[in-house]
Amino acid sequence: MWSGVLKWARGKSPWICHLNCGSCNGCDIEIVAALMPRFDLERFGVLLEGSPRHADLLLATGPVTRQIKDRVVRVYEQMAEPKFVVCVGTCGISGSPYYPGYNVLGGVDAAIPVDMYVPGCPARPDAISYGVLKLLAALDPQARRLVERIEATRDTAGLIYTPEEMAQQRDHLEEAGH
Amino acid sequence: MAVTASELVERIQAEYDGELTEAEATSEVDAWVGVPPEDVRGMARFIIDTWAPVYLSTITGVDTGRQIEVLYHFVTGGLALNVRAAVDKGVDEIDSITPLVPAAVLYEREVAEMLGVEMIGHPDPRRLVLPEDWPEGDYPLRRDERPTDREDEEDNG
Amino acid sequence: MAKLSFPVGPQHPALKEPENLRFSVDGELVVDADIRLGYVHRSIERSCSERNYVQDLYLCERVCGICSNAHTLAYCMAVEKLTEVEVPVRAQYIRMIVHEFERIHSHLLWLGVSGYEVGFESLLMYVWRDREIIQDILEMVSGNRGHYAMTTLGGVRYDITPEMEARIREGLQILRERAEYYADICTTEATFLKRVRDVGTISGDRCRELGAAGPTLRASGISFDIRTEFPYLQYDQVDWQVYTSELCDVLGRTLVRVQEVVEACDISLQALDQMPDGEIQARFPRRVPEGEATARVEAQRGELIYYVRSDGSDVPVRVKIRTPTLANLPAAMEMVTGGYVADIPIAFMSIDPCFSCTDRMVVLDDVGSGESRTMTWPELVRLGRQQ
Repeated sequence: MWSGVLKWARGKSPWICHLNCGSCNGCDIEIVAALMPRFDLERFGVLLEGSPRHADLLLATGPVTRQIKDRVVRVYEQMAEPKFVVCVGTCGISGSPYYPGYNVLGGVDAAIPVDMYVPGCPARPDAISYGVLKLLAALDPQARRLVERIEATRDTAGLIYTPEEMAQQRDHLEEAGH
Repeated sequence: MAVTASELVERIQAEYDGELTEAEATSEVDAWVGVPPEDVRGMARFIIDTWAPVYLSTITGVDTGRQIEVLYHFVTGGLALNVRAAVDKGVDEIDSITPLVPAAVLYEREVAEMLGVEMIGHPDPRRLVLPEDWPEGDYPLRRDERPTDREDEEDNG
Repeated sequence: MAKLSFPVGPQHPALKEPENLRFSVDGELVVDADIRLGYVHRSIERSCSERNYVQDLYLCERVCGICSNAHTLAYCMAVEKLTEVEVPVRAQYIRMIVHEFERIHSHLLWLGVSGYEVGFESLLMYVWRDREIIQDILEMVSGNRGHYAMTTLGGVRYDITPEMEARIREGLQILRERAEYYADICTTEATFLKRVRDVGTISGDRCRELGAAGPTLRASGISFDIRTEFPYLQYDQVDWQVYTSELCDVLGRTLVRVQEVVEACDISLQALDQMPDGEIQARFPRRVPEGEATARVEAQRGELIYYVRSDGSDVPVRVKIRTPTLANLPAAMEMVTGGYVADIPIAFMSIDPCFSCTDRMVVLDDVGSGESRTMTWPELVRLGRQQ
């Protein structure tokens, strides 16, 4: 019974924590913009939380720099299970355009596992909201219905990538010789 | 009465009693003067005394091959006064101007760690931006062959 | 009572300057503040000298997500100085308009976040709602909400059409009214005043000595603005004035920024009136002649300076970037020192150190001695709000 309550609570009110791994600030502002009155991510029960220990969802932005890598891992380890990571922004996906600088290690997944990729430079607040919502869809039937409705009425191609889709994309790129 | 950059240069040539390696006005607002590295503090003193208030925009380090040029970008009364001091590689040290110009404190630390020019007399010669595990003696903005370039990239993923 | 020292950061979203702050406190008073940079050091300066001039444009844009246009502008101005390319007048006006738009969005962002830091959350919500107006305008003009890629070598990439112009005017009118309303709030709202007046004070002379820039300097009574010191673009063609404040505290910095939003609206409106027709981009050579040049612009946070040296090839030898936050840091350290712990967030925020993204967290640090304890930024903010 408890697990049912927990799952319900998690789906209804996920707490998110924001972590900058070396980003330029563009995406970080768009995350804030997503939480503000216009896009209002909070209508899905999302609450921005300062401490990773209380958070279910980590919004990570930017390429992972050499100095912050240990901190990123430590922040991730401090989060309680089950935890999800949304990687926001193009540089969080591949490290580009900073890669291969001497202090840049690559994307967020160079340090911690990622559950959802939101591309864009900077990522748009609506795409960030959609990425978070899509993760919630696995937990909450209401969010799932919403996602289904969005996907039925709008073209969502390329707005977000799941890890499988991202792996496919990377294979394509590798075949193309990049 | 607007002073032009060339008047600024003329005044330095006339009143500064140390050696000048260059003195030129490249535009109406840009003046460039060069001094030997050991005279940097004297030049800074001269500039502060002559044109106070003087504003230090930043300090740039440039690797030109055999030398490392340290450029001090001052602003005074709508004019940009740039002071150049070329440090030979191998010598790698220059007097800190922080005791005279407190604004230089972070810029000098940046030049020191990025190009390996030791700032003599700097009150706080710690690293500024490079990671703690960055190897000693490896300066990212030097253009020589660098031993640690890209080698450890693989195992970090 | 034993002295405590605690770190704040390093997780902190910034341009090139993320910070790990270490404060020593004696009771409630901060006696020392120290800073460790480098968490968001992305090796941009070196990468710049490994890529060609056009690629560098995109890299420089991504130094900072908030003042990205100021970075491309300064970079282009430096390279244009080297190549002696004359930028068409219309392009200069468009550059100026986008430059001011960016100032509006950045100052509004700052105002909202500083409201949040003192526990005035309605201000945050209101300001960020209004900020969407300028974000929409920027998106309409450039096609993106951030990293507009408007400024390019030799001109600008997109023109402002008459239809756009109408919508811009409409939006700016609203913003101007709102900015005046916020100026009113900031000077009359007692709860806000209690938290910002005489907090984070620093004298003008000390500011100048420490090399502070932008609104931080102007709020201490020193009228120093690159737009008047080294007039660039068409700033000498429009009628505007530099705002200063003698208050030397956080309130002063708030007022200067809010007034600059009003002023930025006026500059943009005038520029729209005066803008001549014509080309928006000049032909740009692939190679840049040998030489060196500096370019300064007044970014939102203060003076931004670029130094570019070329050896005649298509790759620069050196691109040096000095962002305004770096210049303001020594001053910020002084502002915090001697104040209360609860005033740290707002005093430090008042230089607009790209501390913009809601929450920072503390990673327990291993350097602390036996008596050191850590405090999370949220705890600190909570403390700040109780004050």
